[in-house]
Amino acid sequence: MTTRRKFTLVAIGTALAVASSVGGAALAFILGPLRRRASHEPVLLDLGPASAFEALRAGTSGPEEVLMERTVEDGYMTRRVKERFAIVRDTSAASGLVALGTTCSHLGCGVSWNATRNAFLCPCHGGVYGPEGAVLAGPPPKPLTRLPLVVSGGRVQLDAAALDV
Amino acid sequence: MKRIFEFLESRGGLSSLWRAFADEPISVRRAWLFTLGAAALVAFLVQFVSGLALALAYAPTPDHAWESVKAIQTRLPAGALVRGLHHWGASAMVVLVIAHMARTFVFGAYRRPRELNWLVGLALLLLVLGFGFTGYLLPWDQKAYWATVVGTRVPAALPLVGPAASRVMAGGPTVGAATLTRFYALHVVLLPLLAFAFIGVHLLLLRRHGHAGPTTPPDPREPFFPYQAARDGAVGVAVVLALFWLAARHAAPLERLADPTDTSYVPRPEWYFLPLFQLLKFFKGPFEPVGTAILPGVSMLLLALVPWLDRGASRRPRDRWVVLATGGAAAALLVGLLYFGALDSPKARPSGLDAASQPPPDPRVLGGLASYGRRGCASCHGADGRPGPGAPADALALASRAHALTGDPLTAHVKEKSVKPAVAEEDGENPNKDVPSLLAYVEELGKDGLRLSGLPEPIRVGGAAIDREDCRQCHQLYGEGGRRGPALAHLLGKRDRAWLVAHFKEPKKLVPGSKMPSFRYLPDAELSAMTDYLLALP
Repeated sequence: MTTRRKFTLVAIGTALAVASSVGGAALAFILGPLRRRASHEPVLLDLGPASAFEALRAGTSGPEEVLMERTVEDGYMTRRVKERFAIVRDTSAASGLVALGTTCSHLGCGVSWNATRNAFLCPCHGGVYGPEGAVLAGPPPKPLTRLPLVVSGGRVQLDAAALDV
Repeated sequence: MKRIFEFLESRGGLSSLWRAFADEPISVRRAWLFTLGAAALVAFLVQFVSGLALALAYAPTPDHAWESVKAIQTRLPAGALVRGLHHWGASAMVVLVIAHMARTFVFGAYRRPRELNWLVGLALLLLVLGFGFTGYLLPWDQKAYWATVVGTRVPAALPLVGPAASRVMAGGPTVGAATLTRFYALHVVLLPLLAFAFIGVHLLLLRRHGHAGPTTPPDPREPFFPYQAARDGAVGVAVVLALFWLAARHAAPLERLADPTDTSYVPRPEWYFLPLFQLLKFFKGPFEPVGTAILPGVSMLLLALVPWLDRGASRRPRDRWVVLATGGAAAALLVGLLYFGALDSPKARPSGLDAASQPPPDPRVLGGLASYGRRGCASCHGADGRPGPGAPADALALASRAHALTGDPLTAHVKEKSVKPAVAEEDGENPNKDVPSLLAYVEELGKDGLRLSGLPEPIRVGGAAIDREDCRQCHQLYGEGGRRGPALAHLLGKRDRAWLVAHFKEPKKLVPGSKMPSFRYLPDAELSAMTDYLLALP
């Protein structure tokens, strides 16, 4: 025989099942950004002729900031965004150069080169990075991101696919 | 009229509801201090109404958000007023909710049986901060963008769930279109629903347990209506008047359009998040979560547990001095962090609302505009590419149309028909050096409705000079040009006008080892205009 208690349990169970199915669908939608997209094919961004970076490679001039425009998938739309890199000397690389991301590893503010202090400074919480991107002071937990540069056909190129991780 | 009331009473029990509401006994002593909750409620209603109005004209996409807020601020009737109310109302909410909470804390009004209502109040404080955080992203200006970059990365340092939480919050790996729609949905749908629900529960619980009153007897009472209602009303009117005054006198700021590459911008959040922002400076490397999660989390937990930590029989401040001193110390710490955070923030921001702060056209287009004038193109094609009344019958309009001539035939047409500009040919200078710029200008004219006549004179002259002197041979400008010199971007804030003019004249004097030639031979007016142009570049 059906009792009130039994009915209550069935009613609560049904309500939970209905709520979790609708809520689950919404949750899957909300958590969508957790699914990472498959890695891109290499996208090479041209930074200019290799000769333009001679002084930098020889160590006679400091880091050089470059702006690159690229297309990114941004939510529901595809957008052209500008990104800023600092090209610095790196004797270990074949090209003699490496590109540093200018996003602070602490909380994402944009660092910029300060010639007087010979360092990259973050304007938010006081992070300081050396000329090769290593943390010198402040809260940043990691060095600046390093993106390898390739020289092909006399042009310096940056692999933009590495930016999507 | 009477029959309507009778109907409502018999069907809905209106007058008995009113009786219960109006006759609630409220303490007479310290009565003005008990108006803070009502003041916060009034500010919330102002936010609700002004927010509803703003939502009608706002577009939550990176392409249009800033533009729509700018239209609200500058073009739509009463837009600046409504946005001003909403902007100042947000700060008023934070101030009033914290004041209300401090009053409750000092009076020990969270004591049994009101513990649950203290928790509901704490949830409302978090909702108010949530409104603030999701709300100031929406204008999509520099402040909005950068505060959100920092805010969405705050949870990323937490172990295990951190990176995922940060990603879900931003709707992707970086702050962008998905972040804007997410924050918009939270700000206008979820948070208001929760706020109304919690406010309802807050008021119901208040009435269920009655008014806590002053900390010591005697505690004489009067009915809520009209006595306390009058005080609440007076304070509410004062809040609204203050908001109108602020909205009318101090326009809500709108900074420049969000620019992720701007190196001169110093990101800072809204003042009520400044203490947290300042706190993050002190914890390095692996200790980062101490500042981002542990300290704020523990403080909130302690605040939530206050009713169970402070359980004595007496509510007299003298008998609760440990609790009050701890609370006072925490408040002093918060104010100290706010103070040092404010000291370390830039005082003024470039506004996004004055015409001069709009990005100037490409120098090539302005160079083309100058040579369009010099070569007399306007005599047939008209100023701005729209032939005037006196133009020859076969003159083509150049504005807003695809061109019959392009490339080499067009170059030939220019060389044949137009007046060659006077140049020192003995220097071997090519008299048709300006033609590529002219063609770029004509091509721009073909796109819809380019009108450069409204442009400030210095920007026009300066841009043309930059094109003529070919600064792009060595400098990047709008992502184009050589890399021998530094890129010309974001100079505002880095260099001042006097430095730039002096540098044009004597580059080596200001930058030792510079390879830039001197531009001493240009007239001062032109150097000054070039400086204007450079400072206007985003």
